[in-house]
Amino acid sequence: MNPTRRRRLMFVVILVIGVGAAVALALMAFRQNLMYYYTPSEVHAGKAPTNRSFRSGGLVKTGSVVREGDGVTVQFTITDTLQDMVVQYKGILPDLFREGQGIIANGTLGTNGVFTAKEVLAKHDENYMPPEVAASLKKAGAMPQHEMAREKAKP
Amino acid sequence: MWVWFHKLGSPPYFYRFSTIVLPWLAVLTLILFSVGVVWGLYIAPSDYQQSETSRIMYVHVPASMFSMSIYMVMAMASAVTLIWRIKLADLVASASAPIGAAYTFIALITGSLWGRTMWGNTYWEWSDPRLMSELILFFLYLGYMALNSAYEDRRRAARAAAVLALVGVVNIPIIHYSVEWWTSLHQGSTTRGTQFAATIDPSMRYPLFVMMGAFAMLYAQLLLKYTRCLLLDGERNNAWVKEMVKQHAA
Amino acid sequence: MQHDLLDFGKWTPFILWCYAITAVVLITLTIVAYRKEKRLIREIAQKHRRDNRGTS
Repeated sequence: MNPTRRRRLMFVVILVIGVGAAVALALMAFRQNLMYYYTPSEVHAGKAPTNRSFRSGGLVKTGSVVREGDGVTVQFTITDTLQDMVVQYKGILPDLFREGQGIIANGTLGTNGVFTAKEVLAKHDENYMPPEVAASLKKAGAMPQHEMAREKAKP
Repeated sequence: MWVWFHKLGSPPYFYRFSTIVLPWLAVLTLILFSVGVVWGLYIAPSDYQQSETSRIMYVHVPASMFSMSIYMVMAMASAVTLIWRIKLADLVASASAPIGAAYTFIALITGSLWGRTMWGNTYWEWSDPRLMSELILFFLYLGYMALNSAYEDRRRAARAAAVLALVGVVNIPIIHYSVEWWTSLHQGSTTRGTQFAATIDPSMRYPLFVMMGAFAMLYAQLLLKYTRCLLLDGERNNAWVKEMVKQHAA
Repeated sequence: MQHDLLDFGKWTPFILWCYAITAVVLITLTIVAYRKEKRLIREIAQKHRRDNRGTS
């Protein structure tokens, strides 16, 4: 490789590494509070703010969904398998909302520890299968875990 | 291999080579798309939770996947342009940009509609890292095309655009790992190597493979076609182009 | 396995929109590419014919 080309090669390498490093540093600095996302465990540990809204998420606990008399207010418990959090929501729930399903909620934490959600979104996991397969897996107790539960299972 | 690559770098050889390959690619693309669409829309079963909406996967996943691969092709061709000043490399990068932008557009639109049905009452979440990084990819493609046409001097335009393409490479790992680094509404990647077999049932995996093949072949075909256009445009006064046109007319 | 092959109603408008938009974008891209090359070849051929007439 002749010197000119080597010089240009160095330019390209330094450009990519330089920009990469700069962005990596910026992302690292933002990483903590970029999303204002706190897991139920973090909320339990008192790390979540009480004066502004943030996002939280987890699996909807089986048997925890309670509909109020007005028909639009729903109360349910979400869990990251370590800690639980009670969520209150008034509005239309997504189609995919069901017990055992992962959700992400946007809202504020009350002093009583109840999270009042302005928005509830369903989080699907990466498993795709026809209903028959899901039914037989469930029967065999080999249903794959939702990714939100698996994340917490990681050491 | 290297000799062949070098030969392919010569415009007349590239033109003759692509003339032979193009019809085959066109036929292959058509077959793969016909099979893939019928398989995905009719034959494949619906998902146990998402029901019929999971069929959006067969266009969304390949489009998103190749929106990133095409960017990598564009960036590598840009590096070659900067270092070795091979004209054909610049043309390959320039030809990739509109195709990549189109694939990214499809990924964004289909993703938005899919999210609207599955996640809940929202078409777009501004704070979501996966959505934002894919949108930035779209703007990178547009920026590349704009910069490419901003200079009168073709060589200067090529160099400026190549630098932009290389700077934007940093966005590719961000898109890919965004679902792991942050909490995103977007699900984790289904197509992750060995785990792939576990996360997607074979009855949905194979039509997805066919659609991936279709999108790949279409990219190859359009890449050759757009590169040929740029080549003809840039070399219209060269002897081999005159010869070729004369043969074409005869 | 129970799915009706002739049940068109199973596709929600969103699914159809996704496939329709994809088809429109990709087909447009293809047509533009093929027509562009055809036009370029015609242009170049015309120019050469004019040049040849000029010299003879």
